[in-house]
Amino acid sequence: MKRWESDPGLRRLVREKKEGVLGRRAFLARLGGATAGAAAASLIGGAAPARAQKKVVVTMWDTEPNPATRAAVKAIVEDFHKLHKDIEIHAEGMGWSDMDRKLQAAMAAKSPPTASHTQTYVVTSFKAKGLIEPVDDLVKALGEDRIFPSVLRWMKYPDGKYWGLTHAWGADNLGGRGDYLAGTGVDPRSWKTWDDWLRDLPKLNKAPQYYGLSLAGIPFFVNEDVYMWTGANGGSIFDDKGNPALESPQVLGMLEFWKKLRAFLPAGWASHDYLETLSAWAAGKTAQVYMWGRTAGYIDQYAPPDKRNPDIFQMWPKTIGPMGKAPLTQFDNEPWVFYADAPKEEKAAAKEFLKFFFRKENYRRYCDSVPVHLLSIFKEDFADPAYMNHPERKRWKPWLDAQLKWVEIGRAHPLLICNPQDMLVPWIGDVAAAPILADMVMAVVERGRDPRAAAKEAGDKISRDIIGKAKG
Amino acid sequence: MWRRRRDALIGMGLLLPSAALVFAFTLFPVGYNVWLGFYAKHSLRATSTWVGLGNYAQLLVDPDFWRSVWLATVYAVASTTLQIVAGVAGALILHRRFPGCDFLRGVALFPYMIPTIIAVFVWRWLMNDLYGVIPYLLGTLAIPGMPEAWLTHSTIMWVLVVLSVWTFFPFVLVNVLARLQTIPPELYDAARVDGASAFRQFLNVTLPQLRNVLLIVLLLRGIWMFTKFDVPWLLGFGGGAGEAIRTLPVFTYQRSFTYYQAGMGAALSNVMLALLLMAVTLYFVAFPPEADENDA
Amino acid sequence: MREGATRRVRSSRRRGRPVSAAGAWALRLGLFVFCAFPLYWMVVSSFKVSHELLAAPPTLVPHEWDLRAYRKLFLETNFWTYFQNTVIVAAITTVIVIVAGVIGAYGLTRYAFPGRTLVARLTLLAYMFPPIIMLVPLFLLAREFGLTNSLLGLALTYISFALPYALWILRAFFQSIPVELEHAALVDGANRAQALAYIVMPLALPGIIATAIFTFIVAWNDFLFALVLIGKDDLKTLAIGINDFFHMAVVDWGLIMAAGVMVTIPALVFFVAVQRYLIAGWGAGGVKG
Repeated sequence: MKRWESDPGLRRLVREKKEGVLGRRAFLARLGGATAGAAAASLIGGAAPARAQKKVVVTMWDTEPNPATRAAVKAIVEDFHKLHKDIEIHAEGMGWSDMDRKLQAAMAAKSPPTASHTQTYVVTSFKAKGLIEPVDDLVKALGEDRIFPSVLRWMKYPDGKYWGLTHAWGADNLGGRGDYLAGTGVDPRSWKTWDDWLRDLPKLNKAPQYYGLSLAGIPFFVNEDVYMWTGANGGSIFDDKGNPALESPQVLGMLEFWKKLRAFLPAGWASHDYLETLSAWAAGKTAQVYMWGRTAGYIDQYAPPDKRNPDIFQMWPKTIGPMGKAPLTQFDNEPWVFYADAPKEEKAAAKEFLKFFFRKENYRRYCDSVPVHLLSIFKEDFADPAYMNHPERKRWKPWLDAQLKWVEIGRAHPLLICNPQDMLVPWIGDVAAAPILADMVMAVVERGRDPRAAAKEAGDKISRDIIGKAKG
Repeated sequence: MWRRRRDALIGMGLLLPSAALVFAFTLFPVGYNVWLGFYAKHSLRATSTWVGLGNYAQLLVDPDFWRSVWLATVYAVASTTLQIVAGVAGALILHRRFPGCDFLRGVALFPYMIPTIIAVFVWRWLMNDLYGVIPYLLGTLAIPGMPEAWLTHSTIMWVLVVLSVWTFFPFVLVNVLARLQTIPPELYDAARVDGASAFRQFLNVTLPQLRNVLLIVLLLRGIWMFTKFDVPWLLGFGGGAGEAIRTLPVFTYQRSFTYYQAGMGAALSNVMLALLLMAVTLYFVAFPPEADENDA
Repeated sequence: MREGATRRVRSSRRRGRPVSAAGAWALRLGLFVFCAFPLYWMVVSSFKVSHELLAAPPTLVPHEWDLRAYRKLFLETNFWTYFQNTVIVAAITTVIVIVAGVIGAYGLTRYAFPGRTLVARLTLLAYMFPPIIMLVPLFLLAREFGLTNSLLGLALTYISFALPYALWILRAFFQSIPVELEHAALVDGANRAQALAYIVMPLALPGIIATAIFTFIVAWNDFLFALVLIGKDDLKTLAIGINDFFHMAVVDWGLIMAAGVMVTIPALVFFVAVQRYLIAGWGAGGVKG
């Protein structure tokens, strides 16, 4: 007994058998492989040639291309392969825009991956087209009650089924430079409304040394600010039927607000990418930025060593528009979805893999690859000292708390979803991919157009080029 | 007689592989595209609907289309003109041999040879408003009214033009240089004897000799700049400040691959094809290719 | 009198007046800076440590030379795969274009057949066709024939751009080689193939090299078709691979500049070495008159 307990591979194998994850035959085959080595494995393989010969190849696409996460995924996949010699997992990480295009092409060619990450609005669109299938079995196997309600909420649809499984979550926050507060008399904790914020912004703007706020001007990221501010102003960019509601007072108010913020943005903001805004904050070029937990990596790269701490890089509150009741932030919650056109045995194998992946010791490795950004979907982890005491999580504790707060108050919504029911609008994905909303903002903020005229034009384009084509 | 026939057959036979490749990958796709322009078609799905001239009718009343045509025209005119000026100047500088001449010729060719993506990203970095070296150097000159940032709605077109001149002027330079080297030196000697200044010599001897090469370079560069996709796309990504450089090719790409309107994208390509054919026809009517006729 | 004037002019041209010589060197320097400064900036940026990269004011020479960006480029990205893919695609394109182009251009210039003037004109027209015109049809056709996510499919696309130009330029080169030379060889008992191999090819070699280089560049530089035809990471070419660096979570300017240097420096050495061929080839074939 002692001997198998000292071997981690065997230990896992036995546990899998106990948990019923492995069938008896598979267990014996693996056991043979693990104990007697290659010769025994091939012998038993000879007894069951079909199983041993035909590997199930599973293709899984995720949106975490950064090297640390790739290394973690690779390690988990390798461990999984040791247990499941008949399954081969191809896990590929890519940027979101890449993924979107590849998915569109793969769906059209009816050769989807087995499973992939995607955005909430894509789940809606794929579900409507019958391209994906529910994953209730997977969610139940992990335990619904272990998962944050704020995470479950965006996976569950009115039919009562779960159509996706979030891989990890993060929430967008307003980051501020604590060192720039000195001598200004500004106390960000007192901010409640846009007006509070606008009142103090001039004191945090020391252009050209540093600017009050940095925003990204690339369309995909302009969309984020459009919906977060519209939501914080009590509105939505879609009406009850999913038609554009851009001429609403809430959206027009958002545009007027943006115009006022323009004075505190770097002159070249319209060509800044989102990642450039993060490095600008780390390098001290901006007092504030909308940021994610992964910004910690930028701080370690670009900030002077003595400043790499949460006293300098603080979390400041997001504010509420004149027509709103609560601030709104973006929820990063890409779910795993399973494709209807993928072969059954591939999907079964992929689910097997995800069960393995979400097991504590494996999932921990994944989350720890970007410790303050890929946050665990399991509530219990936040009470687990081993999780919370990870040096990075300890170091950036205020960042962690700020993100948790959004989840507690339920005001972290997925991209372009201002009101919870917007989640059911099937063409949000096409709106997100198009530059229409960004053009509207640029017309108003950079080219001085009348907000109402720009909003009407954008709404007409959404109706003509997106909804019209979707219905037609 | 049979010999001529055999010759003709061999000639055509030798041309066959090229002809087949050009037909399959150029002429056939262009024809297919003309046909596609009459359909509403999703770029990724198999279905398509006949809409006749519907795509073109929609374009005629689409202000975004006309704006993209206007931006492409501004871009093509400005960048082509400056490329020719820079190219001719560069060729004159490199025409006579001097120590280090070969090295400088290599360096001057270089911007044309490096991948577009590198050229654009280097310029994005040079012009970055927060960390870029060029805004910094210009800032030290303390010229009143100098923009703080260049990659903005009002100035990104100029960055695009300068970057394009940098990238493409070597094409002009090399063509002009090659032609310069075939001008008989006696022509200059005669002009010099008549006491002509260097500028007069350029005007009276060099320029007439360069006329033909400049005309064809103008035609080619004009067409290629008007239809350039990668440079404006990579500089502006089709949005944000890039909205101010959403030229016709960028507009075409976005119709085809962000709105997935393949039929509309095809119609836009056909508009560009028609403009190209018009330009070429006009050109050959205005400047009949005499030299070419007898050796063809 | 006239003779004296001529002599004076000649001698002044040889020695050069100091003022105009200084002016000429100033112009040469100006051209050098205009062409080379962006490249210089790329190189120094790639060697700066992160915080110096974003320092204000920018440093013209790095205070501290650092290989961080290069380590990252080779250890943490797929740069090497992209590099190999680009070389493969460019090589396939070049070989096919040169073989088909040499054969075709020889046929066009050495054998009379009806319509060959028209063919020559059409190649010139096809040469003018900008890639964007072919965007939608080539994408749809590539999908139809399963040539998306294929380096061969990409190479075939580039052939469509490069071959008309190659035919045009090679035709001009073959025209400049007197037919009489070949006839003399034929009279001496050589056959057509031998005449081609021993007479025409050596004389046309500079033109063939120039054409090969231009073809290679077409494939090496393309962004548009790699963007729409290639989705798999392990099949990406440099242009789209580097574009991804900009959108990756690990993006940094140092990394992008390092990638630029790695793509650029070998090419720079190469082009300085072959620029004679380039200028000769371009002048004789690229544009007539």
